[in-house]
Amino acid sequence: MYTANEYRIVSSPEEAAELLNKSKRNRIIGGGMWMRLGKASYGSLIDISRLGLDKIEVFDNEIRLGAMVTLRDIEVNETLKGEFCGALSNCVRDIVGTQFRNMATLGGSVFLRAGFSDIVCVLLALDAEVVRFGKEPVALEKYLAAPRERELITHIVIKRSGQTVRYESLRQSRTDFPLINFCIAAYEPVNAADSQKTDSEKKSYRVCVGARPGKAVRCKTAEECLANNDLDGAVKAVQTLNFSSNMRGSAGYRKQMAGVLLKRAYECPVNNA
Amino acid sequence: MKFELNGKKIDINVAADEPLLEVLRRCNCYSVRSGCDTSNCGICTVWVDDRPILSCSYPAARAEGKKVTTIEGVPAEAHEVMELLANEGADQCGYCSPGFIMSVIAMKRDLTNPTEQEINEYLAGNLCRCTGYMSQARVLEKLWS
Amino acid sequence: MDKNFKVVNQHIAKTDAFSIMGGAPVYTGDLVPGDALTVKILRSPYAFAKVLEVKKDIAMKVPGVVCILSHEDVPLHRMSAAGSSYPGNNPYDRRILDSIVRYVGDPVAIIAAEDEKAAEKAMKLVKVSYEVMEPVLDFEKAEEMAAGGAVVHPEDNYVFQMDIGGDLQKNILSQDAIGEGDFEAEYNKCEFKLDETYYTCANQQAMMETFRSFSYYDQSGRLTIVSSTQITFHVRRLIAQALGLSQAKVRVIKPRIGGGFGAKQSMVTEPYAAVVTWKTGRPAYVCFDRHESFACGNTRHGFRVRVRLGADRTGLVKALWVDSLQNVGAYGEHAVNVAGLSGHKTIPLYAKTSAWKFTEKSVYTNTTPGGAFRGFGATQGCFAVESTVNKLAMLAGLDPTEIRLKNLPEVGQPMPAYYGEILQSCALPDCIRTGRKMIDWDNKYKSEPFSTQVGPHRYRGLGMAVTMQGSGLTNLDCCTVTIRLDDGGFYTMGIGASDMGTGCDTILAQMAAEVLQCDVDRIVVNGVDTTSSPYDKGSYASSTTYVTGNATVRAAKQLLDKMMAEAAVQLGVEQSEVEFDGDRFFVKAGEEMLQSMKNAGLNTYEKTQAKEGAESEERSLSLEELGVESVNGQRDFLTATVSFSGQSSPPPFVAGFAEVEVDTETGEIQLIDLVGVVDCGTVINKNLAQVQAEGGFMQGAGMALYEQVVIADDGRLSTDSFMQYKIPSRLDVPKIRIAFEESYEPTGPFGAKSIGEVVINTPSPAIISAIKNAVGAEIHSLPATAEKVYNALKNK
Repeated sequence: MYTANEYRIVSSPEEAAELLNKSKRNRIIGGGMWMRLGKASYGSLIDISRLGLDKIEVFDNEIRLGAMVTLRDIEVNETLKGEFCGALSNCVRDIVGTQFRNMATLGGSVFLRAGFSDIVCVLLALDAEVVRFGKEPVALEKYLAAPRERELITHIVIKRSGQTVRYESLRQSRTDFPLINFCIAAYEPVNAADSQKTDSEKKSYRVCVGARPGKAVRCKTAEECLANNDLDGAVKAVQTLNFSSNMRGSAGYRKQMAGVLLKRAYECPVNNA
Repeated sequence: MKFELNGKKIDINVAADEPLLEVLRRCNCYSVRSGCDTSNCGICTVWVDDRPILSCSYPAARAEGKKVTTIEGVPAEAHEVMELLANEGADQCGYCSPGFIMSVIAMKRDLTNPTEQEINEYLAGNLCRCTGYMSQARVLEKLWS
Repeated sequence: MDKNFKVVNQHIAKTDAFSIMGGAPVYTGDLVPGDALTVKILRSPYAFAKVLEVKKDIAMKVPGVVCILSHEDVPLHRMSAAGSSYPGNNPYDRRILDSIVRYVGDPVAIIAAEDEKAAEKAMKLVKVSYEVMEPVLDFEKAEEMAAGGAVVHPEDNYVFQMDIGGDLQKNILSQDAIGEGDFEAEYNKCEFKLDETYYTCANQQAMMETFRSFSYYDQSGRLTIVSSTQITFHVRRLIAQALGLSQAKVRVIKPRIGGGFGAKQSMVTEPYAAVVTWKTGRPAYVCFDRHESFACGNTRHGFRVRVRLGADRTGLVKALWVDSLQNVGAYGEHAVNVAGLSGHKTIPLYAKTSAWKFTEKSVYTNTTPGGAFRGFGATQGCFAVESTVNKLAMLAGLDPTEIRLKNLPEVGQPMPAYYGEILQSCALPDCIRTGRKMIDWDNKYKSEPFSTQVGPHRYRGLGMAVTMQGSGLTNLDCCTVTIRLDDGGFYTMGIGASDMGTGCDTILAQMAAEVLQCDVDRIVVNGVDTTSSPYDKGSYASSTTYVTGNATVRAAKQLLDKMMAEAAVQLGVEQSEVEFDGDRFFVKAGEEMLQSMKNAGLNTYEKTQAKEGAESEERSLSLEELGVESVNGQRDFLTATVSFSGQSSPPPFVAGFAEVEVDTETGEIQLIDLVGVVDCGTVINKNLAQVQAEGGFMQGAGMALYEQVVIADDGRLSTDSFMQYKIPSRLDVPKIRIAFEESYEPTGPFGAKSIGEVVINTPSPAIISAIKNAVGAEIHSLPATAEKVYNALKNK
């Protein structure tokens, strides 16, 4: 369990940002689920739960999720159940339990960028954007690659591009961390209506593998293979990603399973939808 | 910190790093028990603004101005579940029971005509080491009928 | 057998149900005095090291710190933390704090402070210097490493209580070999010869309430310990021994317990609280967090079991050799008995052998100490022996259920590997037949793998296993029960058996109520307080129902007899003329009256009416009146105390079945169905027995598929939380179905045997065999993870 000197419920993002910049020991607290596992000693804990960041807003071309939206909110939201083939709401269902998901937040998950994160893997396939207070929005892919900064995530934005999405994971027991997870999103060609397609108008894919056990990454070679209908090539390609061993599985097993999950995801609704 | 506990107004000093669980035990809610330190077992389940949460992980200070409910605050609903559990022998050591009961009552409110699978998914975060869950399942079946 | 019971053999709710579920302050942590010191333990980060120096001066300056103890501050002599009847075979191999630390987490210093924050702060300021040594982490290399100087217990004041074959210079705690017949000769004659080696890992009991206790001096200056323990009386003896006190100066109280499963059959937190109170005079509370409970409590012992089995063409087992190597961990609590049970409770089920052999060895390592966990060695042995028998079935092309039926011991037969006891009750054949029906074995079981495909890459299979346990330790475990009649016309029962949530307070009250012809709520059962409760060795070894139950029945009968005699005096008749209906004593209608009714030509109804009328006119005495009379100072107080120790330990039996579905692409295993049919003799409480069985099966399934204790290269426990050590959730074990085939055990209370442990043994061999039956993948170490199945399939 952490220790802290002060708990401050802020009333504006400005106040949060100001407090955050005041001391390196100050920290924004999301659900607090992961923080409590550490033994860090904080100055001020900055509670952003009363800034209206707990909304899921649906627009014609995008869905905007507040940083304090909980995993449970995502799971039960009617729009999200139907959107992205339900992948976003499905991917959180096995995480510990209802009470846990009532507390764990989207912003916290993204900020933590944990390797085992189910939702980060799916958001990466959905090409989500991270909105931070006082900064330019950034693609999740870039955000994940960059070092962690002291900043206030306010929203995650996902474009509604008619993607078909499939999420797969393997777990030793149902509510355990995934020993590997996988998400594939298929994007229709921009000019799909045109009767004469050229190579540049083929279906495109985003293929993401997480819990390797490192954090989720895209496999661009696999994406290209799939665009050319080369499933075997894609399987080989995901198996060249960097896998390592931990107590949930060996690198070798993960490598084999990445191929199996890709096949399953591809042969399922992604391609048929 | 001011909050409402089981319908009563409470005004109590709370440390910045104190989990809600500790505060509730200080308020003599002995039903609120700790089973793990990693937010995994569900034993400490209480409601904040009617949502089941893990009081071992919930920062007490976040409950400022909110409504907190423990099993002591829902005696009638709790008694119904307890009686079914007792008659089934499903209490066993009883240590996880209050948290389980709080999840069950919340589930009854949240779900309509759930399938067995939906029930199990809703309650998956409430671990029990004694019973093997089957007696709890029999209780839930009776509770819905 | 007369099974026309009124209170036993029924569905009865636990007497403490509403207090434990409703949040009444009845558990140890709810009762801690407000001024108790918080006790925290500074633990070794090394698996094996000498403690050179513990510098406390800076830490002592932290405001609120009251005392810091290191090995120099505690008694030098060694003790055992095992809760077993005295004298036992547990070595005296530990001190409260020692100058050698033997596993990661072994205590180095005890810190007591006014609050947790001060204790935590002080802990960071205690400076310890260590001489780090190379640890023994692989139990198969323990002897070899000892030769290189890594001796886990080099101390010169180590004490063996008896000769158990130990050789500390080789890291061997104990070894033994028993058997009958010429094994090699019989084995070589056999048509089928199997030689299989299996591994089980340490498992966490994972009771929901972690280890905890607090201590204080009571009104008469006794060091009093309130503890979440299964062994209230043993704790009194062990604490007295640890601190060099007279037992008269120690008192132990057991409130409600949030589960134990054997973990609390060892003394764990008690000495840390007690030593602080002893040193400071202050109340002190120690509560292990989940990490401490997992890493620094005790676990199931990990085993390697080699089984050599020879059988003839028909599946008759002619030669059986079980060879067990046990990882004791750092300290030897319970290890000798646990090793023994791996053979004593597996070999007897194959009763037609011409030769059998059981060899076992237990070795010290630098890992978390083993301890008691439901099943206690029988579980590990059952996994190995039953898996081997299932392999025999496959090789011989025989049905696994038929092989069992062919080999089982028969009632009246002595069981040489089970201490020569004679089997007096056994419904295991019925258990097998019923289980076969329940899981639809005759239709579903196909001897060849890949026979039942249920989807792309998905196959189902069935497996089964049988097992036995005991009911207490013969001629050693002693339990005492006191029942008295109170002046309000109710009974108060004193027991020392320590209800840990399984409901022994309730089932013992049921037994007394059955004898005394009343409802359970007329009997008040005391929790355990060594000051007021009669001696009982505690709740372990599947003994409460059988051993304490026998004491209960005898005490209740003795009290009933005393009440009848007293009622006779009060009514002015002979005792033989008194009848009791549970509420009232009255004089039986005499022969004279019955004769006159017969002469009057009354029909049966009229006779009954006349008899009742005649009796009601007789003088009668209510239970309450008798109670009042017994406290008026003129007559004897009506109470009975009976002590019981079993002359035998009748085995309960289980036939367990499993159906699984395996995915050949990933190796994933889905449990479809678990079926258990139990012979525990007469079922005393139908609800509680069923829930015990279901819970045991779930724990067995966890052991088979999910629960993995992982120790890192430096000796640290990696699986030290519910986040990393995954016990089954309700999504993992979708279906457990239990049925009972009740035999009648002539030596048991109302024909009962035990149920607590036997129910955990069969799931792992049944599940592992079902996996093999489904897809041919053979698993030799638990748990059976998807990756192991995947590798087994790939390497075939």
